[in-house]
Amino acid sequence: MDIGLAVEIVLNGLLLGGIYSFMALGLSLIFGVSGILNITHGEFLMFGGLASYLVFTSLRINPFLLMVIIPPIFLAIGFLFEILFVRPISARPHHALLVSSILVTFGLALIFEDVTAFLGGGVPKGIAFSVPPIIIANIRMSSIRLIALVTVTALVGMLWVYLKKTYIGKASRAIIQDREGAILMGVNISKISMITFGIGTALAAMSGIFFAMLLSVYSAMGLPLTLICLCIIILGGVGNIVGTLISGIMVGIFEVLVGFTWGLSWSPAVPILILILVLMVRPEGLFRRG
Amino acid sequence: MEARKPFDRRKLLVSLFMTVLVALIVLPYVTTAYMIAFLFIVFVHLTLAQGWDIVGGYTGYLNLGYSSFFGVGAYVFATSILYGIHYVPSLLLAGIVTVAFAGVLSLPLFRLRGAYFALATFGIVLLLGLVTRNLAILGGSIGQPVPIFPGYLTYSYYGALCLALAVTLTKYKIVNSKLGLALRSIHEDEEAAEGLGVKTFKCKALMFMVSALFAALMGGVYMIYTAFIDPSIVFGLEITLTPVVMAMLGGSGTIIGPLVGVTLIMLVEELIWTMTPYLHLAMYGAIFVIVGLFIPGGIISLKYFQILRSKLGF
Repeated sequence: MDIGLAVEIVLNGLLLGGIYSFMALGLSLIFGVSGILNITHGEFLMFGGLASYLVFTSLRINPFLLMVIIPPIFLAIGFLFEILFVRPISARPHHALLVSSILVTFGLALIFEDVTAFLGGGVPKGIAFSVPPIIIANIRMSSIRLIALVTVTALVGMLWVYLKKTYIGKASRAIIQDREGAILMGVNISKISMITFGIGTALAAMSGIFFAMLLSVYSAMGLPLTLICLCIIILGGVGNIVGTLISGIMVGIFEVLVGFTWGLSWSPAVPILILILVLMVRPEGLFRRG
Repeated sequence: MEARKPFDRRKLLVSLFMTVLVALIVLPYVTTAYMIAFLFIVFVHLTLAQGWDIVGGYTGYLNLGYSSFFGVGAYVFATSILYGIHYVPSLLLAGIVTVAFAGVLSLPLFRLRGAYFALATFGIVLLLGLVTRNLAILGGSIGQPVPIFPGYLTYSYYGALCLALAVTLTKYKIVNSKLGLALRSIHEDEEAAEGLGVKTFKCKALMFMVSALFAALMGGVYMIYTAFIDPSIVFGLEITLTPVVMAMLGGSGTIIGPLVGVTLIMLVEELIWTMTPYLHLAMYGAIFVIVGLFIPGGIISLKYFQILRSKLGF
């Protein structure tokens, strides 16, 4: 295999993995803080992608400007989601909470997906935006992918600062590590939970923008993506940023490799296969909770 | 006087049950093919809902990928018939292969808990759908016809009726045994159960395999009905979700709950949903949300239903 191809595969894998880790981090935060696995997460990604597609086609602005417009909207949607659907069930005892949370979020995911398909979201859509490729030493790289890679890296860095330096970030990590302890230290769980839902949803929507720019967006993409997030979270440990990043990039690179060697129709099988194989050997996943 | 009352009710219930059963057995000779096909679908869903509830309702592990067993059973049955094997051994083969599949699958899956388990099982269905779509030898995404003998509707009707009865009786037996007690202890507190000597992994894996058996046999019987197999029939979202919706709506973790849920949804489907070809998935989703937010115990946990239940004594 020549070097250019190898570099391209690795870069594409890194990029896909970066986007995966990014959306998985959002879900991981939500799950860690609220104890609810938000199966609607992938649908918010889909909505983020569709919204950016609609904004882009109607206003014709630079797609990177979408990064400023879309997240605040989805932050608000996340708040609303928490108030409407999570707060009513969050006081239930452990097992009842689990069952109701799966029912509510899975049901909403089905509603969102089906209604979107009904309204014409079933056909894959994407943002057509071309920039000349960069060529270094005979290696051709799509510059939009490189810009996206840089942006994802910057965003993960910002998320890192948020979690390690700000009060809300530290409080959410405290809740993930020890819920009772955090309550005793005076952390307002319901407030933090609402904010986390907002931020997680905004992260999903941002990943949606990348999907619209680099791949395509369609109504049925949500549930499979939530599943990929889940695999990455189990491998990487809930709330563990480094673990999630490494697992996400691993899944991304393997997907690109499998897609290259066996054909694209096989690549969706990669995350769940990795999950099953890893669980056979290491039941607790690859990394600890963060 | 008071002590004899439940006995009389039981007798009444048994005789009622027998009457219904006899009626269902003679029905194919007196009614239309449409009615038989409708009842067949009811039995399919009843079997799947009850089978799902063996794991979902009693151990508390939500298996969102129950149709993987249905589909594996259907594919094994169809393939073995295409190789010229007779129907009965094909059905047995479908059962055996799927139970073994469930046994292997339980190793990684039962290392997960709660929401992780639910989503991972859903992933198995997506994976199987992907694999069957990509393998041309199994018919690929286009699917392939399954050669079926004439008079198939009656055969599949009786097959489904037998399976629906068998799964309900099996569930009843399990629930009222020591194993049933162990399952409920897993549901309440798995660590405590493990600490008190319950072999939790064994119990869960066993129940997983029992529920897989019924889904697999149903998958085979369903192939007799459709005479055609493709990934969207056996691994599609609709067949994956309906049993769960029905059991949850009726009330999971009970014998009567899935029956109530199946009856209700099948009636609603027949009367209303057939008029609108769109948004069926959204309606299932809406039922999920409503049950999750307002009636977590299902319909049978509602007040009037409890009164009705205590009056009838079941």
